Amino acid sequence: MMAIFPETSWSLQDCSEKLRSGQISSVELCEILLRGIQEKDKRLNALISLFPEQALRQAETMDQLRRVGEAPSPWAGIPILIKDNLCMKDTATTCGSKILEGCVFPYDATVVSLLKQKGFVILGKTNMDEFAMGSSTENSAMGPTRNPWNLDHTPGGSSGGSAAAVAAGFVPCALGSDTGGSIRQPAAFCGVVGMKPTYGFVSRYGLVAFASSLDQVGPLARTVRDVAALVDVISVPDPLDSTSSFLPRQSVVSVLDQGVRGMVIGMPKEYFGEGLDDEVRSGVMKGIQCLRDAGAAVKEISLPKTQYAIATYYILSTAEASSNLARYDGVQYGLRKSGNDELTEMYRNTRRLGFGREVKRRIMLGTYSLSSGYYDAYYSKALRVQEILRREFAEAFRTCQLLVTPTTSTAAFKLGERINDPIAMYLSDALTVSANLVGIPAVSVPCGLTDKRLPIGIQLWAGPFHEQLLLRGAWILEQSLGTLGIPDWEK
Amino acid sequence: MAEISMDEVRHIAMLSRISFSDEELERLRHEFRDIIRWVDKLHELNTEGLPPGADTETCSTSFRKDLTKPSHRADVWRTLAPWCDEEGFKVPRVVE
Repeated sequence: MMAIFPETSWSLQDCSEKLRSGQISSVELCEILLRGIQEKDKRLNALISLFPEQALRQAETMDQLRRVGEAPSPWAGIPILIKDNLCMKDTATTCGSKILEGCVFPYDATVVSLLKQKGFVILGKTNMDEFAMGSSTENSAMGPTRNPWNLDHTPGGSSGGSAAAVAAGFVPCALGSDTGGSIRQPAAFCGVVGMKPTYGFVSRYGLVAFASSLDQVGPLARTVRDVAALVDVISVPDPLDSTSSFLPRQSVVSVLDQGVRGMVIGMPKEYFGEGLDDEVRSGVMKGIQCLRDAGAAVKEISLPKTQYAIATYYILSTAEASSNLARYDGVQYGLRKSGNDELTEMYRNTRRLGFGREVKRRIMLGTYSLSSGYYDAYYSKALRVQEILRREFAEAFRTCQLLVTPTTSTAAFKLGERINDPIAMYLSDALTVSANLVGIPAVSVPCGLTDKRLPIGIQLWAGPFHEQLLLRGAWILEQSLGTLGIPDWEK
Repeated sequence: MAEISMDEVRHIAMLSRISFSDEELERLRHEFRDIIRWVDKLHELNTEGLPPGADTETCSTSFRKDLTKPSHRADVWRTLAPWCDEEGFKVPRVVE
């Protein structure tokens, strides 16, 4: 389907080329995309905030710099959105929560500084499950986001706002965060490319913490090349994040077209078992055939302990969340609800009113697994199972350069379908969480549509810091399968 | 561990510093029971002798020089607080 404004279907590379050739100015491009968002987001609810004046001022500056040959990068003047758990100086950061109402933090996250240094124009901030806890974006205090492929379905989560906005053509690309699949699962549901880098590859400074040992910032876009370009922009060693890796970075975008010939790609049989939807299986198998056709040897392998990943994840991530979210107590920032002038009562009432149901459930679960009498049985046990998983994946990467699996076991589910069943919702992440527990990079690439025209995602995994190999594989998939384009969601 | 009592749920709510109604606590008790049964699956695995997952491959602490650097101004941070004065954040009286 042809978009009404062709600009909405432009990739990052298209925008760069058209700005460079003078076919359009950054102000014009931003105005068109801002108008599109203002008109269409009433139905999608992909955005929490929009900064039209600020963005147009920035676009004007980039146009001026470009005119005198001083554009800071090929991306100068290109619009982008960021997830609302990334701090941006002088703009509200809500994390989709009432508890952060009115919080305007006085600094930029490192990834936001990097985008600004390259001249990206940040148009606004996207909707998300509260504090990134969820798989459908239904846990946002600002209301759910809808999937542009079918408005009755969720876009996935927690970066559902970023994925829906990119899929709908609001912007060519966006940033999200991924703690257990929160970039890859919504990317799969919305038919875009989404990548979680290696833990430590991208700075987390200024990313509001959910589970610090698992959180990573990453890009979403409609093409693999755009995702690779964004990875190159944001993966810079950062002294402000003590977990940031100082290993030298090599350009990912420059090696994309080197293909997969000669690579050994593992296909873990556990990811293709019971519960995998037939249409998803068939889409993913088509992708696997493309990798074979491009010269890779795809072999079946076994990762038997990955069946324990999701339970491990929900113990570790909730434990870390219970600690990270202790700071929201009505004292330093955000909401305060007084209660009988007593300090503990004030904490309890503030947190009751400020947090949504899922966040409270996870804080409680995390507190339980860290509490006296249960620490060894749950938290400590989960850390040891995490070690088993690490060893199992390390063993797999001794013989394979990449792994290939589905990203999700079904296409996007309907709004409301899983919201009252926490375990069913938690299982939405079953095929993605291991990458976070093991700290490795993974990417979801679209591999077709179901009969009901809902996107299917195929997932590639690589060893730590092998982002280059990962996106070479993703690029082959895209070359063979094509992109899905912008859905005709306004009907 | 399959059952969890109301007293335990109340205790966890107290530790979490979240106020709940009795009805909410009862619902949480049921959800906890199901979730805990589900995560109890981990006990099928023998983890004896294994270290807790210490990630040395992807994550090592990066040290930096111990230098004094300018930080965000305290007065800017104070403006984010729901209740403050020039000295700091204000809270309900703790000591009579």
